[in-house]
Amino acid sequence: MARRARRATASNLRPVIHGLRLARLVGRHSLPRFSRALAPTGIGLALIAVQADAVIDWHIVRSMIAEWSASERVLASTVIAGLWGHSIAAPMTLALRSDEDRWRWRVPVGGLANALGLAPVWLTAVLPLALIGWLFAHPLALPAASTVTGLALASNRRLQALAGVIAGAAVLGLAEFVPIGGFALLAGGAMGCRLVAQSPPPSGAARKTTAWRAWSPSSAIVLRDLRALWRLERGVVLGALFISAPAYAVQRAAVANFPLTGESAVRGGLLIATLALTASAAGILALPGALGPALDPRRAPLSAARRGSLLIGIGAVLAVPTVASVLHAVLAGGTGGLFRLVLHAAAMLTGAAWFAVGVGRRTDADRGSYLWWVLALGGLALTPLPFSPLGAACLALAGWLGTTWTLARARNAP
Amino acid sequence: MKLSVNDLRYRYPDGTTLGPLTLSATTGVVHLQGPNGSGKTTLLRVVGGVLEPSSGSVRLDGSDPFHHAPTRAHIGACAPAAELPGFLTATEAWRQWAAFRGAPSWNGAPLLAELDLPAHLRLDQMSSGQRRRAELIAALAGDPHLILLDETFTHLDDAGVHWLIDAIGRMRGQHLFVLSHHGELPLEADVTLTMPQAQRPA
Repeated sequence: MARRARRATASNLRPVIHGLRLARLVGRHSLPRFSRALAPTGIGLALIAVQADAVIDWHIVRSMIAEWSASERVLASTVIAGLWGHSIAAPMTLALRSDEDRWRWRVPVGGLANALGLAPVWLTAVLPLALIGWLFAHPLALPAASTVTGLALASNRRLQALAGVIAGAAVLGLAEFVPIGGFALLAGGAMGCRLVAQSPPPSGAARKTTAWRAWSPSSAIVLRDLRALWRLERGVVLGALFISAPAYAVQRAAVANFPLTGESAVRGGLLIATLALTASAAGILALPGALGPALDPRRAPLSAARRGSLLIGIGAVLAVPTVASVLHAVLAGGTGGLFRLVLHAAAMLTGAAWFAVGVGRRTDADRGSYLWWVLALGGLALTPLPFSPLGAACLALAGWLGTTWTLARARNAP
Repeated sequence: MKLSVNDLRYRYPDGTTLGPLTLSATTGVVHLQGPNGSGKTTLLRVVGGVLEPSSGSVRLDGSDPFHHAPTRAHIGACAPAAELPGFLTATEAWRQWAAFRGAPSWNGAPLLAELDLPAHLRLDQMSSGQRRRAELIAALAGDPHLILLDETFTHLDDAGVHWLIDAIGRMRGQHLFVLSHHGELPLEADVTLTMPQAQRPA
């Protein structure tokens, strides 16, 4: 009798034991990626919160939220969480279904035990939200929350279009911004239509880019990256360019025209919508930097010295805006200057970490390194414009592209 | 245990459809053959419960391995490319899978010795042939009834091939092997299935 009871207990516990066993295995499997992703993402989120704080005065938004009822706050939080969940669902699914993680689905564990086993993975998606929750009472809570919203909007193609429509509609509500609002609405709508209709097949683009000829090993790598950029992601490039222009226009108009003492829900909403379009910067940059393999194949026909100097050149372009930002923080001084300095130093370390990961880590040969060029172009555009709306927009563009590319390249090859 | 595959089809995201495939077997060796790109690996993943069929069904003793996790405990699989986490040692790999399959007392050490595998070397430090042998032992761990071997012969050396032929010969009376292999199989199959032509979208 006792033996039968023990056997029944063991049978009931088996799913839990298997779940724990799977969690241990997944934890060991995910830890390197998890640790690489978490720190830079957190730092990046904090950095963009500061960056957004420098560009936009949050007084209006805070006043607006102070007037909200509890149910309205719950609704807003739900929207943010929903956007985040929606945007993270696809890349997480892709991550879980990648070749590297296929073994998990052979494990005979299902239901709750499987959820327990995959905790190291889904925690990656949930932790940013927890970070926002933790920051709720902090002065940076609003910029950070908006950053998450922006990240969510920016990382999903259909939500990008939705963001354009929302911003357009919000701006259209103000008579003085009709042209800008109309433009944003048009941009978002057109982009949505294009996305729904899907981009054309890549064969035409492939024919065009095949004509390019490299003249040296270094140029071969650059051309390969540009080719991959155009063949695989040109829809995102064009879409991001299309929507970034009105986003910048809206942001600039908002910063220039809103009197900081005016408090209205429409203006607050406009600020949130505007920021949702533009507040994707270092956090987003950090994510692909941390997750993307992003470097050249080890069998690239380059000597170590040449390859090293190529990478150092790209890394230097990346480092310049960071250094400029640090100098700006030092020179600007004032309230919060020290905090910004610390954050920017952290960002610089993050950049160095990207570089170290990129140089030090042997990566898959089939992924290419064009992410570096995206980051470099974004950084280059930002260099003369630290803390300006245009700089923020450029950084947003680079981050947006980088994230979307990285996530979109995680193909689910059956 | 009986494997029943009925009118199985799998549709790729680009619209290409594999199948239909129908099969019913209890024990023995089933040879799945077809040219490169014909979908053998994908269909083995569907049979193994990793991918969900677009239509038709896979049943192992009446249970669907995709939706019913415990059914997967009766399925062992050796993928064409390295699949298990590289940080595991060969011993950890078979122990882990034996435990997952509800047979923690299963002993893979004799197989390691037969295949001349270093027990405590990490999978990502092994040669590709050694790793294939280690993953093969993990596929056999816990004595699953259905064993899916995807192009496994291709990556083994002569000694490994002979060992595998011998092992299948010993086990085919009690187990069901489904092997994908391009070309002639180096052992006699009870059933040979040729992959139907994939239907590409217009």
